[in-house]
Amino acid sequence: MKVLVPVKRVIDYNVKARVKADGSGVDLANVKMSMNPFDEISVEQAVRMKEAGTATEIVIVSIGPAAAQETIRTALAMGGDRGILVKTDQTVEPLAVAKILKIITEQEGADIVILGKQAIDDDSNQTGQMLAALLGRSQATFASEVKIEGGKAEVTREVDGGLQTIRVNLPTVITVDLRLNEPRYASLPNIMKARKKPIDEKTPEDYGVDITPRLKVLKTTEPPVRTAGVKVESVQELVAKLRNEAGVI
Amino acid sequence: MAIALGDPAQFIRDHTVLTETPLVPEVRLYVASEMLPIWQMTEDEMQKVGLPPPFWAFAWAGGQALARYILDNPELVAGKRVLDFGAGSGLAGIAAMLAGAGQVSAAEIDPIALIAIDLNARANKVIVTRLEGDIVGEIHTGWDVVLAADVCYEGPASKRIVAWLDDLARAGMLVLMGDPGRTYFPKTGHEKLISYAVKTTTELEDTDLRNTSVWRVTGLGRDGL
Repeated sequence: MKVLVPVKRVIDYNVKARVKADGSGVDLANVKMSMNPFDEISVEQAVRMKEAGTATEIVIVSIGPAAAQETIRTALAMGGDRGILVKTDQTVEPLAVAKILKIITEQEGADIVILGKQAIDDDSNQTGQMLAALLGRSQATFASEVKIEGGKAEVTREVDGGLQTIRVNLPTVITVDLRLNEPRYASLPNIMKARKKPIDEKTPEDYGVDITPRLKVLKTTEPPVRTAGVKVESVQELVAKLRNEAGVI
Repeated sequence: MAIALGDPAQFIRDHTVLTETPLVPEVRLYVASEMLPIWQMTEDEMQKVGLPPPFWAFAWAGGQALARYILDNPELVAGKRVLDFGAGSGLAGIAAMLAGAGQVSAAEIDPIALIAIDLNARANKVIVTRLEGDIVGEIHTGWDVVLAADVCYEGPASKRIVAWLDDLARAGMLVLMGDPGRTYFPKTGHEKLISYAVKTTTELEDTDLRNTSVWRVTGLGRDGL
């Protein structure tokens, strides 16, 4: 069974994001970039499936600038078999990503596509769902547990009210949530081995997909700065403030 | 134990073990081993200490095959000026010196590899001249024999390297490549001299034996290049 794992190069989750002066977006100049943490979880899931004998080959895909090759290498070091880099310096929105992934999924004959439920840079949470729709396949989103058995996938989903377990037919698209697993760190021999694994280089044009943005960013703003607190002298004063100023009781 | 690069030579001695090379027991190399903390180093940690991916810390299959072939056929390099290109640990070049080469230059783009090559050469009681930087494209008349092991694993880089090796062969040099069938190793333009089953680790190659060949570049050009 072939598994396709798309990965996105995003601003590192430890970096404090700064908004560009003109409000057009987040300043990415000289900022540490790494693999979207949800995508690390999907790579880990694919590798565990291969170790368990369910998956036979893991293909890693990334759509982005030349540097996204590094993100692919990281996924290969974790246990991916080979990579495909779809190179573009343009902004690629979820729909364009889904269209490219659809063609790659079909060309590769991948039975399962596992991807992060969202990327931490734009928090769109759209690509997996769009991909399943374009492919006409089942989808199992927000997975916190995945079992593959007899041509079906049993997926436990994290929903608002708790957990929901569904069974979907293969081929399918699975998006992963935070609690599915804890991604491994690739050790030195695996990093070295990954350097010798093949990565194909493509462009969006190779797939005949128009990636021109359809969304317009109107503005980007920093979160409001937290204001200083005050000290109260007594319980009575606290209650008064909660009632009259905060209006919470 | 935190790993810091500090003095690279000391780093290499601290974090590797001088080990006999499986196919080439005549040559001992400072290589990484699972017994050592460096084996568990992650990409982030390597970046933090400023250590480029240490290709020099492993005896790759192509280098082992090429070294074995040279030691078994010393007349190919005896008294000759030899270039070991993309030398890594310096294994092929060291084997050439042991086989009686007049002089060996080892070329590497990784400055830490060059320090490892120097340590490895000394450990085998030979001297290897070090050549730092990207020399692809330079047609040097100072070499009689060019050795290139395991250099075809990245698409664009492999293309450049192979075209250059073809030019060197056409200029009359004996160009030998060692390769275990890496993805970007060209299909034509060379003749196979010998094959070995090279012992490696599954952690590096997914199998513990890799069928690896030594090839002579004909310089007659290649399909699709």
